Amino acid sequence: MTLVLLKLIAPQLITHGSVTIVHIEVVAGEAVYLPCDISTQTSNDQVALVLWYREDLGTPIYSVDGRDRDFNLAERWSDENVFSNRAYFMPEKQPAELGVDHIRETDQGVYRCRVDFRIGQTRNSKVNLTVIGEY
Amino acid sequence: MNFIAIWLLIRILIGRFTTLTGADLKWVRVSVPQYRIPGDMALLQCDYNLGNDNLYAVKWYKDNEEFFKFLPKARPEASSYSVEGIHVDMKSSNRTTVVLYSLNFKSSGLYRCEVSAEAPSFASAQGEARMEIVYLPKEDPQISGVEREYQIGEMVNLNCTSGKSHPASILHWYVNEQQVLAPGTIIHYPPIQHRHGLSSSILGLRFVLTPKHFVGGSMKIKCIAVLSPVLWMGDKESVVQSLPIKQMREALLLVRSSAPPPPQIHSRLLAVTIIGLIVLYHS
Repeated sequence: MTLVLLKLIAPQLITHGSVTIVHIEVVAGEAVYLPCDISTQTSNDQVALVLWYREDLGTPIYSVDGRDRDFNLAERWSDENVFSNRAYFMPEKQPAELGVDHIRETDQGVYRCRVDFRIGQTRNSKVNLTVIGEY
Repeated sequence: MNFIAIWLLIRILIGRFTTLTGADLKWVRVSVPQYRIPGDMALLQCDYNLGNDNLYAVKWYKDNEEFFKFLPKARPEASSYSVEGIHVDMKSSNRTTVVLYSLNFKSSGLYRCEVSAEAPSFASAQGEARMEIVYLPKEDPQISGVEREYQIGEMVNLNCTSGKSHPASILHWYVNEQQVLAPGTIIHYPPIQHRHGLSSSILGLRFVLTPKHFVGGSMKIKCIAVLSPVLWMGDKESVVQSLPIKQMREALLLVRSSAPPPPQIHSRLLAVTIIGLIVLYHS
């Protein structure tokens, strides 16, 4: 008895007080790609640090620290208790994405991506992730 | 009488606390002046307890746009971004304080301070508070719709329009020193929007003249414009309080009976005098 649900509903983009909120729905067990624009405003700028927060937690759940090196060689860290080794950041995508495999129902929530640049203004964007349970 | 403006500015702390569990960065508290007038300076305070963490960055945002950052490892440590309505006094700004100068109407907004600890935790906490730039009205409220003569039984139909201000002034009608509150008598109109975020309020007054409106042979109709912004109400932790001094401006309309005092006036003609009067009340 298997019920096939919509796999992925097209992300909805809503700008709210200049913080972009993207709504994404995903079926539990699938992979999801959380967008985070890391493009620079000027050609001489570079991304220094990318921090992913889940709104109910004060510490990031995923970080990409390129402050002391080229961003392509940045140090990646993923919270053991959240995405652990299920998450991988893809800076080459347009926009960049945090891929998360095998989504669980407990992954549902609002995520914030903060991008610190060497020169430019910090960019914050949010993803509201809804996880649809498997039947 | 000349207009005297007394404006007391109070700094009310409406910091929204963010408390963290499990991280060393414990809390961030923001205090921002709630009201300022154009040209003023504002001291924005961001206090925090890092616990055993080291500071990576303090970032200030206005309406989600970053305008100031302090990174102890960066050279220079502090830098600012061009944001409308924001002029940072860099000499007076540091890891806990930001001083803004030359405030203008675009300085109104939600100010947020985000504190982040160094690697490996990168723990972050933020607090936010609103600042509103208040423009006091330069003009008295104007009463319009005044007829040269009124007769008993006639409709008095007046509008009162306040001077331009931000936020909008609140208008009140008084007949013979008694505030008019009856819903059918008071008519609310949408405010007129002007440039630079200023607005004028309009309040209508409609009633049928009866002899009892004349006390000692005259009737005094007054419109008072009050600018006493109700302090911004945020979440439950915010402080709600009124400003200690209200600014009031008023327009007075005096309707005199051309005959001896009531009840004899009945249908006689009444002459209208408009008296301009500006009063500043201390509340």
